[in-house]
Amino acid sequence: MPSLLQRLPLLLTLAFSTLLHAHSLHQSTAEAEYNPTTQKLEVSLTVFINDLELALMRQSERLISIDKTPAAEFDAHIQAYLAKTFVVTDADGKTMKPEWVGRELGSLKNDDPTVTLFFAIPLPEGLVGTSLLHSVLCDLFQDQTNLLLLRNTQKVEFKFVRGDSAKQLFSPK
Amino acid sequence: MNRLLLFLSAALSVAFAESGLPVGKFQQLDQTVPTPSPLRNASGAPGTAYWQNRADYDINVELDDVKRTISAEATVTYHNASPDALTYLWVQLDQNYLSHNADSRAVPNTKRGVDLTKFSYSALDRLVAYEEYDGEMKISKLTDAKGEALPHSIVKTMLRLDLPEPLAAGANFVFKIAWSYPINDCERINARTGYEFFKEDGNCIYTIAQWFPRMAAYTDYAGWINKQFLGTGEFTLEFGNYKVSLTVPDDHLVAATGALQNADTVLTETQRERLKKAQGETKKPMFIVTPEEAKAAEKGKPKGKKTWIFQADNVRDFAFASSRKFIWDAMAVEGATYPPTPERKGGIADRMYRPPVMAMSLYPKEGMPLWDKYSTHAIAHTIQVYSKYTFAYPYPVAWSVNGPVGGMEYPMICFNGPRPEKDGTYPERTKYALIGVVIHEVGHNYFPMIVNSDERQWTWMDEGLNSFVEYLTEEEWENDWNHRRNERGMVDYMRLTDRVPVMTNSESIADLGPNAYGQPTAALNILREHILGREAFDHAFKTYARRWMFKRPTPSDFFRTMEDASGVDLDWFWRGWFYSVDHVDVSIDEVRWMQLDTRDPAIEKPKKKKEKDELPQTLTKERNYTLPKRVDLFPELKDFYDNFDEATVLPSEKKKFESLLKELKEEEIDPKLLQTKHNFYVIEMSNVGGLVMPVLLKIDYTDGTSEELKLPAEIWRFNTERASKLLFTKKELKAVTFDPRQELVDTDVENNFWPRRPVKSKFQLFKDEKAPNPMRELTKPEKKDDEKKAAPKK
Repeated sequence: MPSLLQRLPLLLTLAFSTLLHAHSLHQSTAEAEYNPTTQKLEVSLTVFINDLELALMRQSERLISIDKTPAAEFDAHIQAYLAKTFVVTDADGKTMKPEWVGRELGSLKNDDPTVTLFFAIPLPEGLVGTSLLHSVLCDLFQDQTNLLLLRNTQKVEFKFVRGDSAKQLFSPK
Repeated sequence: MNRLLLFLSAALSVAFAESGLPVGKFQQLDQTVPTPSPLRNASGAPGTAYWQNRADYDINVELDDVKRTISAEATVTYHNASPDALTYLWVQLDQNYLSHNADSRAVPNTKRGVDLTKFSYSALDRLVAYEEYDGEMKISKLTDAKGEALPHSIVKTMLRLDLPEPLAAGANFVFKIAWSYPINDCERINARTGYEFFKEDGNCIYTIAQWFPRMAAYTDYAGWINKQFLGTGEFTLEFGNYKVSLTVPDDHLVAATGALQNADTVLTETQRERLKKAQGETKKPMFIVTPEEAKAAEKGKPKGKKTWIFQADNVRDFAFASSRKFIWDAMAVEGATYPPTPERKGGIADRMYRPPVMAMSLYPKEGMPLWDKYSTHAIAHTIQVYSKYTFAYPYPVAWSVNGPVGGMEYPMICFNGPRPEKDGTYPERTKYALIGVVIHEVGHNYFPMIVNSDERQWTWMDEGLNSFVEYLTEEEWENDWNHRRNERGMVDYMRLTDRVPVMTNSESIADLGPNAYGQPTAALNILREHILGREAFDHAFKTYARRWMFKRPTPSDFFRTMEDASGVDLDWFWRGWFYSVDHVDVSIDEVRWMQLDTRDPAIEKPKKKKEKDELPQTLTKERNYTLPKRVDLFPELKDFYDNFDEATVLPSEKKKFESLLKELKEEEIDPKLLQTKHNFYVIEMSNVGGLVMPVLLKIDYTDGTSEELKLPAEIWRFNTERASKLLFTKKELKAVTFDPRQELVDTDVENNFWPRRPVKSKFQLFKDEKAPNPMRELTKPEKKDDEKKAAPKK
């Protein structure tokens, strides 16, 4: 097993080949809806595959590719990453553990394809008073913007950026 | 008839009184955009007094492959075409943004890189690299033409040259400058220029830009554009002629802005012969230097140096690439010549020999098998499509070079990064990344290299317009191409409440991607498909490009030209998409159904009775029906009214109808009109998002047919919040949908449907797809059991 320092140039070169030109858009979009039947917050999060792979590589310090890494291993890496960067806490401040549902690729006939991650967060007490820390990819890019549409009785579009990544989803009246 | 007129005018005056609601959205932009002048006239064209300054360069430069440095000297001739006398000149030293004390060092440009606050090994390495590297451009000499030293002052990336005497309007000033600096290792110091070192063979690829002191632009709308270069906002430059003599190791291949003047000296006979052959080849790129030759060159060592001489006319910048690793392929671009062939045929001009424009690529073996297949074809395709929408490509060559830079544009040459994996395979997205970035960067030749807009002040004028034409070019490469990252997520982005308008100055925009690329591209697409239509739009866009080629346009020149050349008032459109933070959200609130009253009692009275009889009865009434009634027990209580049929037409009613018919005949109105069997529907809409848009509707009828309707944006003219449309049809309406193909960036799809229907979330759709298929399971039994039965007993 080559040491990390030996792998370093390889990692850096890889980081290069996945980075596109100047002014690359660093943005993710997400949809979240509370399902009263299952009592879970259902989330779909769409990110650029290039960015996700880079984040997972930094996390695990090994080469990861959506095409080459075995699916179960890739999913495990994603879940570990989300556990740190997409954190829902209930009204009492308890962190709720997300349940992994799956992922779906966007069109691959694309120079910068996306992948949508699906997961659900159990919230037996409901949505009132819950908060979300959403800092996915903020560790990679200073200008990362994460948009999230919360579908409820009204639709609210949230914007999470580095330095402002924790918000209350539904304030108690 | 008089009563009718009176009624109509009363109705109109009521309507006007009610529209105290803002009509500002349709107000002309005149008060917002600069006043037209003799420099930039009201039709959006350069005026009779239009001027721009110019800078010509004669540069001798040496690239040292051992020390990895640039040393050069230049003679710069600055032409002051402005009406102002200038007492000082500003010169850009953009390379200084990589110097130790640069503004951008405090927080390195992390748009492309990794965050330094988290200490991973790669972050540590970068920190060390930044500490060790000082990219400052060291000026060793700055004199006038005679050699007298010139007083000057360097402020980080800007040099102020104090003129010995004011430079009069129309006069020239010549100065000489010498400089040197170490080239940055792109892998560790990320920039638009630098070298890439290949450990395996010990060679470098150099892709060099922003390498010489360049004249800052002096403009009519903002004076000197002399803001510091921080690495994000790009460049504002002047046109000029360049003669560059570039000295490199004698085994290097060089690509640069301009035409090579001394091929006899620097190219071998084989290379010259192959190039000549390539000029006749428009179908398939040809190797000028083959992969085998490049592999052999990689192992070699130079015996000395060679000087490559380039001449470039009417360009705003100069960049080059050099390496011994390069494979070189070339193809002639069909339909493009240098000088460009005039559109009108006939005359002496036709007999002039015009060699073809050459599309050429340089890449190391690490770029194969991707680059040899796609790069040069992508260049040719870009030139052909962009020329169709704007003007003939006015330069002799277009290069695409593979090196450490992800994607960056210069006149006639661009640097592009995507490469296959080390094992020679590549995922589909890398292929599209390469083709897409080549199209985008070569496209930048048109915007802003030739249509020379100010990238610092208005990034959208080149990035937005280029992305838009890039989109058209990709659509013509193959079907179903999904486009670049920058246009994605527009619907989500426009739903945010804290955006800034596109016309905000680029340096202060936080969301540069959506504002400079995404929103203008989406807006132009809608303008082309749904507002002007392709013919009117393409003509107007071409007019803009041709008016401003080799000149410097501002946003109002673009807005005015598009209106002037299309004949359509678009102030509401620019105001909405570029000056406001409104978004698109139209709601179909209600659809009211009305039918015409024939006024003929013989028809209406039975009809009314029938409708009344068909109404559901209350349970009470139904149950009471069977109870015995007094009038049945005592028939003498019955009178005329008990047997009276409500539908009977009374003589007075008949008379009234006949006199109405008489009146209509006198006014020459055909009474048959009253008998029309049409349905009247009034579709009530509201503009929730504020952004005024044309209304695209799909009407579904109960008979299974449907039709698409387009209402121009002027429907919102008198009330920008509510509008209604009267539909007059024999059929019965079932449903109405706004923006049925979801092309208008509408942020709330649910209120587009009437009757309302819920839209499933992405999550729900995903789960639905994963649901087990009982039919499949039940009709295809377990194969294993069958096989067991069929297997012969041993």
